[in-house]
Amino acid sequence: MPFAEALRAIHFPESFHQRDAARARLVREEFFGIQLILQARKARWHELPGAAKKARGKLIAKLESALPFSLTASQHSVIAEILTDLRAPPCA
Amino acid sequence: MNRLLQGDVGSGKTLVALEAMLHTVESGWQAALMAPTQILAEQHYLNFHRLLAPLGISVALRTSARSENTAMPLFDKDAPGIIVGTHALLYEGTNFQKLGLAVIDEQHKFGVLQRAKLIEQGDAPDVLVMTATPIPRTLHADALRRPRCLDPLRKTGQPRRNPDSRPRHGQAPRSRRLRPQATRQRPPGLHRLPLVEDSEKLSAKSAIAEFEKWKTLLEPHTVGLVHGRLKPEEKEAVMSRFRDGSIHALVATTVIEVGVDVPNANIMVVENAERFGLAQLHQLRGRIGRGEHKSFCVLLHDPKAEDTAKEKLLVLEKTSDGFEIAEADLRLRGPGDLVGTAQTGLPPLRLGDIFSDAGEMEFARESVRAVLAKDPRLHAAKIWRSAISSNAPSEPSPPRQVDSSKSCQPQAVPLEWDEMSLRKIILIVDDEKNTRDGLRDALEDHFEVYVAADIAGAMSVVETEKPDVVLTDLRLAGESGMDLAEKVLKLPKPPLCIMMTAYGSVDAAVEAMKRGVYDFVTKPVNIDRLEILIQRALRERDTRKENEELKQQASRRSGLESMIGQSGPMVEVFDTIKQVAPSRATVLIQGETGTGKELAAQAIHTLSPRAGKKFIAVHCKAFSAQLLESELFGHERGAFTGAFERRIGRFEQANGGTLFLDEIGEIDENTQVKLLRAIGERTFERVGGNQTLQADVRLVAATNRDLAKLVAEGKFRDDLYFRLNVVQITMPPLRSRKEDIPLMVQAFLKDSAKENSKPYRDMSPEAMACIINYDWPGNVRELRAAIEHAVVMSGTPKIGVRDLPASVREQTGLSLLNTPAAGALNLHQTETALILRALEESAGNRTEAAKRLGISRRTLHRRLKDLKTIRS
Repeated sequence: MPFAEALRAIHFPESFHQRDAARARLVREEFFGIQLILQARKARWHELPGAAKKARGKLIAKLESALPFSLTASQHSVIAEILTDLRAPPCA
Repeated sequence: MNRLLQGDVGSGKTLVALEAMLHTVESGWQAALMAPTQILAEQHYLNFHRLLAPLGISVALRTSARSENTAMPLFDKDAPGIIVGTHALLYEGTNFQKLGLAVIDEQHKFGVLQRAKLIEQGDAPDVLVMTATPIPRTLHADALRRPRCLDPLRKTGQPRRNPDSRPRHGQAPRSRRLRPQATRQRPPGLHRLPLVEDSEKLSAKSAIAEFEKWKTLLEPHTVGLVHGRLKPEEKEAVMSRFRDGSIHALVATTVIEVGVDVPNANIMVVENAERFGLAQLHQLRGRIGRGEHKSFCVLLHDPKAEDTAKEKLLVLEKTSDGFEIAEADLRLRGPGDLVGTAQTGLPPLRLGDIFSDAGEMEFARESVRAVLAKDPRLHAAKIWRSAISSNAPSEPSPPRQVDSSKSCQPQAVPLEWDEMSLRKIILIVDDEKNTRDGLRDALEDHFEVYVAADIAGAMSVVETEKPDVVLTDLRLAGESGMDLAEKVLKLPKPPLCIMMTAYGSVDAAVEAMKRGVYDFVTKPVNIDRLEILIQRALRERDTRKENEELKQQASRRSGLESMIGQSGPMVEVFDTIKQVAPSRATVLIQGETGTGKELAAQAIHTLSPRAGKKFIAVHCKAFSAQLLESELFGHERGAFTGAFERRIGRFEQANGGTLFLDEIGEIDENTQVKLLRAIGERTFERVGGNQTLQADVRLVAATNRDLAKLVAEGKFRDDLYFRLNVVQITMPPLRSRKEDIPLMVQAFLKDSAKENSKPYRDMSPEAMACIINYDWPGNVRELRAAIEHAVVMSGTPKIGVRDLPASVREQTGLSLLNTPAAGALNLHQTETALILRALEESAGNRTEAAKRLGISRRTLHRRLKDLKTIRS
């Protein structure tokens, strides 16, 4: 449905079906705009230079050995995931 | 990195963040952690300091109270690897040296802009945002902006019991039922109030008044008080007494909401719970139940509180999963402004509903992602419109349930980019609404469909949407579909027209086809047949379009591309051609034989609007006077002996196109007269014919003779000369543009090798020098022939002087010395040519070559050395 028709139909609908169709058309346009802004922003973020942090993990190993408890599996997996991200340039 | 680290209260988010910060520090960067409150920042600082001091990592603290709190080391801008702070980190004086990671703790406590400001402090630092309860805005954006993932940090280091949370109506005294159990075990409790001082306006209770009340109630146990008006050291003193057990119960405001770790606290009473946000209540509740005892959280609320407030409390009773709570928060409070800064509340949407249209949002997300993947810079703006108006699932979807496992699943299947962009547009024009709607429903699955009831409506759609097919009824109330078809078919890029007609008016439809309508269908319309017809029509049109494009491409090749040259005279020629081509002006091309006059004429034709029509070339010198006349204008049967049938002349053949008359200086006077009339009045008769004919022809004439001189001598009509000489182009001889020769040689070498099925061979420097030195009386044509000769004759890896035609070799040799007016030559070139020739004839033997040149071997050696120096 063209934009002009949707505008007409949402103000002066001939049927409920037409009203709903017009609304759906306009909502889609609105959401499309929001998504464009959000995703374009995110794409911009990805274009930032950023830098890879390529430490070998000595400090983490020392810290973990000094802790009075050991980390859970899910903590380990989350840390591994974050470190993978930190090592990968640029902002990923 | 830009990550959200979501984990329940006490699941070890801070430890994960600390390891990320350590990794950053080890890589030579700084890491900053921004906490929402001073207490929490200090607590992080002390913990980090305790853990990292043995590792030799310096930790700094920066809060707004730093000047009052001398016990805390101040922010040291020289060396700290890790900087912990509050909002104070954002303001002046915090000069990060090399910020590589920004950790934001308890995301919901900061504004969007505050978070952005911290990130701006570094040179695109990585970002880790931590929270137990993602704020609605983030949760929503996240659900939409995958693959930014929520880390599954759900399990804690030690098993912990979730507090038994019960909303209770009414006032504090009713919660005293918990008192006996609590006092028996002597566990510390927390009593929380929303405001620190009396405020009539908000009808909130004063923590101080409440503190007095609870002190009496819990006698003989000791009760402490913490609120935001206390100085940091006073706060810390109370907290530390609470931690070590000397205070049994604590009355506090929200200052202790986040991060304060008191393992043995296991009862919490929250007054005016309806005033708190879900995330905040979840945070508060997280302060208890860290020890081994069962814990209780009592949420007291006003019985008159709004339903949403009560619902909020019920959510807390039902679940302790931070993610589920965040989802409920999103549902109850709205996502905030996704493109602005509000973190909760209804987004400023004009029409859409974030919940009931969730399917549409998913669709938009996927569509935009597909668009951006193909067109990141959004060049094809038109495609958005087509994507927006395309026929995708648009039924309003039911509100989403609070179910974290399904929260990120897309609910609509989006259109693929190709499908969107290639979807053909159909316009249906019919005055009967039922027919319009019926056809639309039937065709919508495969096409983008627009409808109109009359010609005016149809034309407006045609103008704005540029449909591929117009499907119109022959009879429109008071109007005729034929009129619409005629209007539409007159457009520069007309759509295909298909006529719908009732059984009785087939004749009219056939008539319509004669006028350019593609086809017709009879009513009632067989939808399957109609679809096949439309598809076929579109396919045929696409094929036709493709053919035209290919033709155009092919014709473009014989434009200026076929003329080689970068020299001044040639650039001038190109400019004139480009300027004159679009007009209808007659062009006279002058130049020696072989300079490319016909190529110039072709280029004029190719670059003109007549490019799609014929280019006819006539070499006037090739015909006798009578034959030329017949050749140009045609003849009738029996006009002269041998004229057995009517012949269509070149003028007629070239109608709409370009006629190129080469060697125009050779035509006799009689033909000149006829030609003059044909050019001036655009009329002529065939030889032996009476009928006056008309032809729209653009004339380009060429000659290698000096026409002005012929006019002066009376051999060429001056009026014809003036007619022809509207624009004059003079093709420069090759000898006056020797800098173009190497370029041409390369091109001709390639062409000749291909044409003669020979491998491509380069020209040796000696041969090239020879070619440049030659004066090319036959111009480009001669050069082309010479190169072809060399390509065919050469058997060595490089084409040498001996492969060139004898005429070229000889002139550049001794005969050069006899060429008096060789303006382009100089002594050095001549000497070079002679030396090269001598070397070649003596097969590279320098002694022999020196003998031939009449110089010593030593002199030859020196000259060759000079030659090499100059070349290099």
